[in-house]
Amino acid sequence: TLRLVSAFPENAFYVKRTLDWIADVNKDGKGVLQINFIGGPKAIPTFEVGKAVQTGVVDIGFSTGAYYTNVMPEADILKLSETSAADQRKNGGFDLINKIWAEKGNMRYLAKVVEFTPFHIYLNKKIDKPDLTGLKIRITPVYREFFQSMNAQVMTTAPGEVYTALERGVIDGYGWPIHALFDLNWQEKTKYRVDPGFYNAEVALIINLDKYKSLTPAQRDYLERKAQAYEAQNDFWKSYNQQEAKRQAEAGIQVITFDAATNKAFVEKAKDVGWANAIKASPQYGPQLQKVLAK
Amino acid sequence: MDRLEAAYGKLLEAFALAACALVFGMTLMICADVLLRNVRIIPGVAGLEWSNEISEGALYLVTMLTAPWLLRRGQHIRVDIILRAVPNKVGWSFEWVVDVLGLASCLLIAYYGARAALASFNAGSMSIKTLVTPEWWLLSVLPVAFLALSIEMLFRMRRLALGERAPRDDAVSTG
Amino acid sequence: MSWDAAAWLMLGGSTALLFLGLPVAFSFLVINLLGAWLFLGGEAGLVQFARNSVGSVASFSLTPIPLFILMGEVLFHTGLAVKVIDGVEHLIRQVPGRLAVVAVVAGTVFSAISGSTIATTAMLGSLMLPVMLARGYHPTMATGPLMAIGAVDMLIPPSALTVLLGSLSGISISKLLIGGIVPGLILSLAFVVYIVVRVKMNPSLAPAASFTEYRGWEKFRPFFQYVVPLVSIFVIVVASMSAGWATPTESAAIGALFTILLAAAYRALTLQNLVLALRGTASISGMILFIILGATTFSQILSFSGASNGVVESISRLGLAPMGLIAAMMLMLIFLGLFVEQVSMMLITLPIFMPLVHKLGVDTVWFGVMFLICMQLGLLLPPHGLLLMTMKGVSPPQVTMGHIFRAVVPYLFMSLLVLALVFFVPAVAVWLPKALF
Ligand code: NA
Ligand code: NA
Repeated sequence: TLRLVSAFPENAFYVKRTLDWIADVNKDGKGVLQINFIGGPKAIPTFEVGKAVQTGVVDIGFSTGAYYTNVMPEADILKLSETSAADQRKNGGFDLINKIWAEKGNMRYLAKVVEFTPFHIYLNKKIDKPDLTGLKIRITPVYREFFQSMNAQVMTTAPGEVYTALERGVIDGYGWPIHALFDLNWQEKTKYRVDPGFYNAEVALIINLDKYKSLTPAQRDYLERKAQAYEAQNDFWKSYNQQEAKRQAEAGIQVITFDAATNKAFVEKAKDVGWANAIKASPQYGPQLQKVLAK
Repeated sequence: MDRLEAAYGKLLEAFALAACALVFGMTLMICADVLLRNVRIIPGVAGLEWSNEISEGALYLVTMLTAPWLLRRGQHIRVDIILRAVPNKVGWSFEWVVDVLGLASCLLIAYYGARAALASFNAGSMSIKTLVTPEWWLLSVLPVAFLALSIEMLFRMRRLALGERAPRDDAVSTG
Repeated sequence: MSWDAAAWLMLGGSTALLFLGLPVAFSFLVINLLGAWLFLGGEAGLVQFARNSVGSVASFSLTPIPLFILMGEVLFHTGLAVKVIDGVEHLIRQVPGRLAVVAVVAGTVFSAISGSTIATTAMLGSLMLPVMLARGYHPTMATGPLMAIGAVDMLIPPSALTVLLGSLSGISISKLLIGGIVPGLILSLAFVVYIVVRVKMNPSLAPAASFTEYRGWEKFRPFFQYVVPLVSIFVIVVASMSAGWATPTESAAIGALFTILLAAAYRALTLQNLVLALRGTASISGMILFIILGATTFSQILSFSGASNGVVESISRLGLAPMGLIAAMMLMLIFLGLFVEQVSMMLITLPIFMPLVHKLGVDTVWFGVMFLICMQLGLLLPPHGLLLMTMKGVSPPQVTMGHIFRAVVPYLFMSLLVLALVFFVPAVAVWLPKALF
C-alpha cells in the first residue's frame, strides 16, 4: 500500500478529483497496488509535503511545485510551461524533469494532473494599465517577482486570512488561478479580474524514488498506467476554466483588460521575469528546462 | 558545580533578555508597517512587506530563547494533581521519572533537529517567501535550544537530588 | 497499527504523562517522538517531526499572543491599574455591596486592556481584597466577584487564549475576539445585579461604609483622566480590526504600543518597569508557544496515524443529533476543566472536536464562543480552577480555601446560565461579529 498526502486541504476541488482517482486505482488494483489517502495539511504541513516525499515519510505527494521549492528551486519553474504535459512526454521534457527530480528531490514526477490553467491578478481597485503601484497584493512565491516588477507592495498571508484581509482592505488584491476561487469564497470580496492570464498552474503526483524502485514491474506499470490516464484527462481543465470564468462573471467579477499591444507586453513581461528568475535560481537546469517548457 | 549552575542561569537570563528585545522590536516593527502602509510618510515606502515574515521568525526565536529559562524557573506548566495526592516520597520519585523522560526527549529532538538542519544546509535549501533565506537559519536554532534544555534538565535533576524528598513547586497555569 | 491502537497510544500516553507531572509541552514532545518513529517512519519521520516543530510556532496567526500579553503587563507594572480602580471608585454611588461592584466594573475595564486572566485576578485581589475585608465584607463576598470578573477577562478582547483558540481551531480570530464581548458584558452585568440583590437580602455580607462622595468635576476627573484613555485603547484594537485598517496581529501591536505610550504620557513608564513588563510577556508567551510547538506536531502525527479520522468517524456514527453532540462536547470540556488548565483543554479536544464541528456544519464562531465560556468556567471550577489558586495566593490567612470554593459557586451558576443562553440563542455570540464584519 502506498501512502498519499495532499498539500491542499481535504475539501479542495483538486483533492476531490484525486480522491476519485485513488478510489479508481484501488478498485482496479485489488491484489496489485492500493493507495491509502493519509490526509491534507493537517497531517503534513503544505510546505513540508515535498520534503516528506523526498525522505520517504510518505510515498506519494499531491502538490504544486511552488510548495516544495525548499526541496529544489526547479519545482516552481514548471509554472512557466507553455508546452502541454503530453508535449513534454514527447519532446524530452518529461525525462528532463524526472532527471532533475530524481537527482535533487529523490522523487519521480508521476503525472501532471492540473494544467491549461492561467493565473490572474484579482483586484478590488480598478487599474487602467498593468501597473500595481500603491496596491497591496497578497502573493505566493509563484507571483512574487512578476508583481514586484509591476511595483506592487507584496504581502504573504495565510490562505485562511485572505478573505478577511480582502474584506478589511488589508489587501487590494491577490494572484490566483482562473479557477478555485469558489472553493474559498473569495469571489464574494473580489471586484475585478485582470485579463489576460499568465503562466500555467501545475499540480502533480510525485512519488518517492526509492519506493518507486521497490515496486514490482507489474505494480510500477499499473501505477504509471493509472497516473497517465489521470494526466490524459487534463483537457477537462479547458472546459472547466471556461465555466469558472462564467461563474465569476455571474458572481459580479468584472474583467479588466488592456489594448492588444499592452496585453501582449503584459504576458511577455510575465514570461521574461519568470525565466530570468528561473535561470537565476537554477543556472544548471533553468536553460535546459526553458528549451522544453517554453514555446 | 554551584557556580557552574549559577553561570548557566546567567546565560539563560541573557537569552530571556534577548527574547524581551525581540518582543519589543516586533511591536515597533508591526506598528511601523501599519503606519507606513496607511500613511505614506516616507515617499515610495508603502509598508514593510517583510514584516509578517520577520514576526513569524521572531515568534519562533522567542519560544526557543525562553524555553530553557522557563525550565530553570519551573514555569513550564504542568498538572500536579497526582503529585500532590501521593505521599511526598512517591511524588519525588515521579519527578525523577518525568525528568529522565524530559531529558531523553530533549536530547533526541536536539539530535534529529541537528540532522534536519544539516541536511537542509547540505542541500542548500532556500525558504522562498517574501524574503529568500537559507532554510537552515531557522532550522538550526531548534537543536541549539533543545541542547540548552537538555543541559538545564541535568541541573534540574541535580537540584532534585539535593533538595527535599518531595515534588517540586512548579507552575500549574499560564493565565 | 490500527487507528484505535494509535489513538490509545497518542491520547492515552500523553494524558498519562501529563498526570504523572511532566510539563504539558514535554508530555506532547515525548509522545510525538514515539509517534513520529512509529507512524512517520523511523529516523526520516523524526527528522520530519523536527522540521514540522519549527513551522508550528513560526506562524503569523500566533503573533497577537505576545502583543496582547504585553498590553496587560504594561498596565500592571506601571501602576496604571490602581488609577483605573480609583477612577471607577469615584463614579459609583452608594449601592449595596459597593466595593464589590467597584471591583467588577474595574475588572471589566481591566479585561478590555489585559490579555491575561491571572494578572487581572491577582491585581484586583491585591488591591481590593484588603480594603473589602477591612470594611467587614464576608470573605465569600470579597473574593467571589474578583475571581469571577478575572475569568471574564478571557472573553473580552484582548485575550491571548482566544487567539490561541482561533489559531488551533481555524476559526476566525477576529470574529472570536469580538464574539466574546457580548457574553462577557452580560456576565459582568449579571455579577453586579447578583451582588446588589444578594447584599440587599443579607446586608451583613457587605456592611455599608461611609465613603467620600465626590461632587462635580472631581467626581469625573479620574474617570476621564485614566479610565477613558485606557478604554480607548480597547476601542482602537477592536475598531482597527473591524474597520479594516489592520489584521488581529497588527491591531494587537498597535494596542501594545498605545498602552506603552499612554503609560509614558502619565509619566508612569520607566525603563525598569518596561523591562519587567517585557519579561512577564516573554515568560507567559514562551510557556504558551512552547506548548503549541508540542501540540501542533502532536495533532499532525495524530492525524497522520489515522487516529483523528477514526475517532471522528466513530463518534459521527453514534448518530447523535447536532445539538446533542455539541452539548456533549461542552459537557466534556467542563469535565476536563475540573482537572486540566485551559491550553491543555484546547490541545486535547480540538483535533477531535473541529472535524466534528465542520461535519455538523454549525457556525464555528458560535461554537468557539461556547468553547471560551467553558474554558472560563474551568478557571473557576474547584478544586483546581486556576483563579481559585491565584486568589488564595493573594489573600490574607483568614480567607480559607473553603471560603474561596463557596464564594465562586454563584458565579459558576451564572456562567453556566450564559453558556445555556448562547447555546439556545446563538445570536448572543454571533450577532456582534456579524454586525461588524
Ligand atoms: Na491564520
Ligand atoms: Na481581556
